[in-house]
Amino acid sequence: MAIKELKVLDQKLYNIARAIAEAIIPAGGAFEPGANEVDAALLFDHYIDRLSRIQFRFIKYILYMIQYTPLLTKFKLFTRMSLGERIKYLQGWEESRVSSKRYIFITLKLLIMMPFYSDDRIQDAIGIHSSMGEHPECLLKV
Amino acid sequence: MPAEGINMLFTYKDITKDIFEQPDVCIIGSGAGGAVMADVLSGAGLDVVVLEEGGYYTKDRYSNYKPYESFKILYRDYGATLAFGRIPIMLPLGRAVGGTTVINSGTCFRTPDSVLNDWAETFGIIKASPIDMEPYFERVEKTINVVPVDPEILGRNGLVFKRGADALGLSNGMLKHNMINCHGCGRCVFGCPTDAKQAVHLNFIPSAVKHGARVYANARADRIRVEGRTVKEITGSILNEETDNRIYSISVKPKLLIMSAGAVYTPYMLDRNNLRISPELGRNLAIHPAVRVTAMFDELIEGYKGVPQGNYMDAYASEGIMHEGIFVPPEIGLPVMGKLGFKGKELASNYNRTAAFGVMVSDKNSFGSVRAGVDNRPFITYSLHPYDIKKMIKGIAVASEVFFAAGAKSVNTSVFGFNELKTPDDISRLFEKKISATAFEMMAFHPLGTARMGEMPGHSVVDSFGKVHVIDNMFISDGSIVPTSLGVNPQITIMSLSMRNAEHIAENRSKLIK
Repeated sequence: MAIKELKVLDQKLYNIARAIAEAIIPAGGAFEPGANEVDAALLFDHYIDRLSRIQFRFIKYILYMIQYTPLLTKFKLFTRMSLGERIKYLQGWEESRVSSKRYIFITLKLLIMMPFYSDDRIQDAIGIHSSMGEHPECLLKV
Repeated sequence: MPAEGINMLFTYKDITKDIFEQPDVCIIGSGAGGAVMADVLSGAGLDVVVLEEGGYYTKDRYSNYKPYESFKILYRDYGATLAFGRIPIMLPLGRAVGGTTVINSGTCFRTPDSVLNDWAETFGIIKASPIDMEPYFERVEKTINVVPVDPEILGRNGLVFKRGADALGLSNGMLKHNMINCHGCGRCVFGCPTDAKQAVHLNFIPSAVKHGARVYANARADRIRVEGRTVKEITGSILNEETDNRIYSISVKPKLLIMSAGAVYTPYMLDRNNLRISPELGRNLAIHPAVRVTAMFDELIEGYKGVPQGNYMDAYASEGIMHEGIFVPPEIGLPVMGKLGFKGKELASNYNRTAAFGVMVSDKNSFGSVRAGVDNRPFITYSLHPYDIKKMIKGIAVASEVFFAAGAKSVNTSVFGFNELKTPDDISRLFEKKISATAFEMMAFHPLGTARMGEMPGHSVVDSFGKVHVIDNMFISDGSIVPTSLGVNPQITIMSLSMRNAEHIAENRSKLIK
């Protein structure tokens, strides 16, 4: 990943985002492509380029929080965990009884998953065609 | 060169120097309230300037955007303007010429008679009875072409919910929308790619421009200078649409100012300018909290085909619970459905068999506020009352029953701890223990009430026609003057009140515009 392609993340944040994206959408399973096949972390970087400075700082804190908090319980950084460990760890965020933790995670998940599931290759893989260009989804054809 | 076809609508690309204007009327905001004001006042021969912070978008531009890109371009804060309280609630607001009408679902309801009568009794509002408002409703509906959704373009998502509601004998029907030749492509909330949805940038704004109004897109009002009881000047910035950076300044010295920036941004801007025109300004925020209930079916639904909000169920409307269709494409729907990893991918691969419907409650007991916050943004608070939480749970339970009656295999409630209901018997679990506000993943729509109308200055910000009690040449005309929650989508109410108030201004111009 050439750093010059990144708009707002630095290489370190990009690596964290990439590890998170892969855990949220791993390759294989119900359909083949995963986050890294379409570089969801790069799409995420491009998507958040219009956030205000404070909003971006908030996103940065979430990424760092996910990266470093496993040090306390698992004694390793998030990016050093295996895929299975990462999925389990993020499930802990998503199913946390602490509502603010859940909301924070959902925010990040939205920002990563929206560009991923908008990609035509992924929509093809799940059998959905909702791109706007030619209105293929219209019930009455334009 | 102004925007093609509308020769007095200017975007940042048309502007090459600082702007100075001295019109009769300056309107801040071009949504449901501002657009109607601009049309009526310019039609009455007044010289009108409209300032709109957002860009000017047409079908040719946004039909190229994917839904998630629309959030970035047509919405404020990526569609996630937050109200803070026990839980953060997302409040989607439009930012474009046409305001939120560009990105709403297009659903049209007249103000319920009971609400109009309540305003007269509780707030002393005059000349807004159901009979007084009737001609305004009619004219607005004619202008934006309000018609019932054709069942042919409802799509299977709406049809399965209707099937369940009919099986249970619950009152339901087709919603009315402002549309012409809708093809049911399911894109209403991302900017209609065929201009079927008649947002106000397709009717009231072009009509205003035809009457001579000058509409500045990408023009953000920053400062409002008031001396004594008189607004003297509005200064602002022309923004580069790509970067939001200021490229030129704009100064407007109007005889009359009309704030139409919406129930969030009108009180925010006034507060930011230290214009504390009433203790009630920014208070009494009413919204319609809403959740989405989804269901898995064996049959193919393809919910993204068809009008996403095409039908409703009003069986519990008297209790303040409305069920309205809602379906979003997978990129928006999947992230909030509560699964990740391989389970999340399984869910995604079944998205074609997923149906969804919305539950919206009328917040009679909850309250919120808006004031200037950090980061040049409003700070919104909202506290959901336990009584409204009970209504929400009942609404979710009813929607779940309807889905099971329609043949759903399972239902996802969006309530933490009760995410998946596998049989109708599971619904009773929702009532077994107390569910707190923090268990919901909630959105809210239709902010209203933050500069409410009334004839008692101590209890309201503006009078019955939107004139600010303590400033001689300022009116407010947007959702903020609507004094209470409506229980239904508010665009017709806002437009009709705006039309009525604009006529009042035009009729009294010799007194109001000096």
